[in-house]
Amino acid sequence: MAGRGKGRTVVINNREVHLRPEKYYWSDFFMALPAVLLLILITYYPVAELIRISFTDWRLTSRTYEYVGLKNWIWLFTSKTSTKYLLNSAQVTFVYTFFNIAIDLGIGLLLAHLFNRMTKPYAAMRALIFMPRYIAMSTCGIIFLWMFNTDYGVINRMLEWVGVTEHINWLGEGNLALTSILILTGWHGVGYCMMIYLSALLGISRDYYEASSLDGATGWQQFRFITMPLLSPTSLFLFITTFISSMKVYQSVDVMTGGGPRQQTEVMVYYIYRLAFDDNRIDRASVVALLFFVVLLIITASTIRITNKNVHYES
Amino acid sequence: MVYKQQHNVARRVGQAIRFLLALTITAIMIFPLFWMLSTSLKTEAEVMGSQLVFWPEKMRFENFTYVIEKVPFFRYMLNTAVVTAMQMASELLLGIMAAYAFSKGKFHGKHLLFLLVLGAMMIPLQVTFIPLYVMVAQAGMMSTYWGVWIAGCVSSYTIFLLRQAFMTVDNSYLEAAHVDGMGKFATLFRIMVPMCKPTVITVALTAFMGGWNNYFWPKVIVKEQNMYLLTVGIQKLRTSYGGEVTNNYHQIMAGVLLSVIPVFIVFALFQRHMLSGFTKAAMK
Amino acid sequence: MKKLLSLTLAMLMLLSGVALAEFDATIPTDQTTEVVFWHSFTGEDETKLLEQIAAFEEAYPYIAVEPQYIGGYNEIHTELASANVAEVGVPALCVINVPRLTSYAEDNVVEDLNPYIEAFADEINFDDFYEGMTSAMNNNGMQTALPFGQSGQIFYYNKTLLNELGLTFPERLEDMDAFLKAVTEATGKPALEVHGTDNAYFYCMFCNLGAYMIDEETNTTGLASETALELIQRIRGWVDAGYVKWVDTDVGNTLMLDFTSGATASVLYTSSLYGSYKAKAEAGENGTPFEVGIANQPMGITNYQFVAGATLIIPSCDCNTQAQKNAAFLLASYLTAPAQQIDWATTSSYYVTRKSASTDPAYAEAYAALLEELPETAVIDLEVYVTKTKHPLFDRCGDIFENYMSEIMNNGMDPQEGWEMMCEEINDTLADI
Repeated sequence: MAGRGKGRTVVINNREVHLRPEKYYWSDFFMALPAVLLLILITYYPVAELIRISFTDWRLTSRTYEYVGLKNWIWLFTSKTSTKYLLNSAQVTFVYTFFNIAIDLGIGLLLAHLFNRMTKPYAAMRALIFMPRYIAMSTCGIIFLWMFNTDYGVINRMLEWVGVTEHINWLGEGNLALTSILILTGWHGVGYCMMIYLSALLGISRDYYEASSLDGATGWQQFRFITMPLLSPTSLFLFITTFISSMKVYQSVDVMTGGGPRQQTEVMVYYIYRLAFDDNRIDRASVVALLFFVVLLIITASTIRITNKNVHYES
Repeated sequence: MVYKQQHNVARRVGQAIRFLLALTITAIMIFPLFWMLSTSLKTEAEVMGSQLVFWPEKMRFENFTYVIEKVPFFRYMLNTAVVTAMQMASELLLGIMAAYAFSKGKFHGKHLLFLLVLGAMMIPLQVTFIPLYVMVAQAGMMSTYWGVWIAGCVSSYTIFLLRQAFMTVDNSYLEAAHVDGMGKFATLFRIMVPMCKPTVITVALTAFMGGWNNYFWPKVIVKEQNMYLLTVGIQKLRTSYGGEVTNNYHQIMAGVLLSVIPVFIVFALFQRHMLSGFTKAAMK
Repeated sequence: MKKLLSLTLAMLMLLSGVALAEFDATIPTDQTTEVVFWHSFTGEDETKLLEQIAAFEEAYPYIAVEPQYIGGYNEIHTELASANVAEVGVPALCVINVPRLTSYAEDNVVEDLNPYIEAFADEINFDDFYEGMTSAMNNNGMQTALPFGQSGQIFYYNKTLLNELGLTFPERLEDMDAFLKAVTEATGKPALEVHGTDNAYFYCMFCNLGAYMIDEETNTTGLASETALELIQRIRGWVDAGYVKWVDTDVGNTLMLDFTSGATASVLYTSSLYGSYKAKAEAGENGTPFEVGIANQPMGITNYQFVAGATLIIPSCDCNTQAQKNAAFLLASYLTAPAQQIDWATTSSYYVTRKSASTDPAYAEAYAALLEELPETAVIDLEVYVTKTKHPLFDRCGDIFENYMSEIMNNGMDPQEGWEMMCEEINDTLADI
């Protein structure tokens, strides 16, 4: 127990009322403390460390290092290899994120409409579609690796039936490899978007649809002018969460392509990992990690700000 | 009358088509899991044969015994179970305490600290893993349970959700408990947690899945064969001599199947909670 | 007075420096010294290794060895790096592959073995090692490691088939074209399959024509020469004509299956698989039985063969006492001694790293037994084995090399174009210290 806050004076019905001061408790503080301390240890402290390491020349195997000032930062922005791999990984990551959001949200919304019936069979089917999300992405990756196998994979085998005789090398060619990864992550995550959209759909009052039907609106018009706007808060939420998780992608890439043929599917996190553990350059990896972090923050913040205007909330 | 009948028929047909479409799509989505199952029961010849085999002639279970013998499979499962339990325990305990403090508690700096918690949500493991790795290595905790646990010991997401739930608990319950002489902890665990059971279960399940399906961090931290987690361990089924990748997918799929069984069991038991929990969480 | 003082100070420092530099080669015999040994061997190899370790412990009862299987070379490397950072749990003796040694020497991760070699001269008999091997593990005068499980990149060929066709495997690069053509025309199948994901296998041909990855003086790539381009185009010609198959997916399995089933007449792979290939081929596991022959990398201007494989290092971490490191060195001396090496080679098909193994009558019987088991060993001339490189950026450049060769050979990239892009990328990497 400790401390009292200062009381506040508020105006109610044109009369000044002095509120009793609130009591503050130390015990509450200590209840929050362990979690907060640990959080600081595993999130804020590492970021500070990243900044510190970026000013050194630390390698993975050496026990000593020196401070070299802005050397790594200069390397990041001027060196030819750095710009090449950095831009490459940024491009791959953004392309992947764009399509992943499109697939997850787009197909998720469609599925939400299709499965929008509350009968038992439909509920069972929904649960089945959601199932992949329970399995670790890396494990799903192995399954898809097998399915996409060039010589014996079931997909190429089934394509034979429709006349595609030459086996497609799904994972051996840049754009195809990225597509394969997108199929994997899409399959994994679509169920989640579907469920979220579905509960949002259920929250939209039927009155809107009935009223607009009486006015002669078509299904498509109803979708565009009623459903979409009313779903916009959900869409925003899904957009941001899918965006963040797509930018952080690693597991699917690691298992399916290992960075792809000649780094053609190397996403940012994979590039950071490679710099740290393959090239043994922790200092460089820290710099790229910081850059990645800043980009993530900026884009998330601007997305929220920009789209806030377009989001319609039910009054 | 006729019009209504025709309308009904049209509706019925429409519904039937819709159902068929839904069924087809579900079948396509489930196919990879079915394929995993059928592959794990095949022989090598059926897997690599010139003909596509959908379901093996005779179900063979030796792939499973092979997997268990080749890698210390149950050890991997144990490792994963221990770390997941540790993470669930700390996430829930510390999370509940912190959520209580942030929802019902009053103390200096409450607002600031909560902002700190929220801010932590924006800092992903993929950014912090390098210094964390250094920290764990310097503490000599490589390839230990604690080393894996540390990255998932608390979750700001958990604290956030629990705080939301706790805030919906009417203060009168708390005051009644206070009058009855219950201490803070008793109030917390005997009143608030039971009242927010759905959220707590959701959070616990999220923690379970996060721990069980963890891949990135365990891969960085655990290098000793005996201490691998399940997700990393079954990747090892893919390599043989000299780190070369192999094609014995019938056995690999058997390993995959074995590793997802626990998750499916949990899924079957808590299905209702998981689905509703996820959706509720989104509808803040 | 001042001068005398400073002189005395200097003398004292000099003396203490000398005292520090004296190497303490003692191992206590009244107590057990523990040596933790990290290795990367499994199966039969591991069994044989454990056997030899047990025999060592009998010979030295005051040394206890704890062997631990960590994983492949990459696993050992990361585990060692982490243990180093923590300064806890670093083994006294460790297996690591040749490419890592340069950076380990630079970062002071390992002990310089020269003082040990001097102090334990009789046990190690250092000059008995093949020079090419030990110099591969010598960085700027520092002896970083000892050769233990060395291997090379050789051709396995179907001896039975070649005898039928009246051909011998070419010893010179210029004879390759004719040979490959003859075999393919006679059999209708590829004559050679090349391991395409590890540049160690095909890089040798470039070196023997004078094109090296890194020209240290100019810090650019020697692969930018016309010779290299011509060789690339030549190999591409072989691939297009069907004489050669460039394998870059599922390599281990493919090479083994294709060779033992007769789908190809020869493969370019690691010498340490000799025992297993021989067993499979003679048993006719995947096709008709045949005899296996081994050929060296073909000569060009030079006759280089590159040494690779597992070496033994003693990490320099202070968490191990000098006595432990000494004991580790004794263990290393034992494992690399001629008798043990011959025994090891019989199981693992690694090279015998000792010259005396084939010349000294004391080992004649054991060596003869080895030759009976693995006859083609006689084809290998270990005297010409040399270091591939010690440049720290070689691995990075090698990756680029592998990637482009794959694209050129298997994905239809134009050789000239690919070669230009490859050289540019390698040069960029070299400029990027």
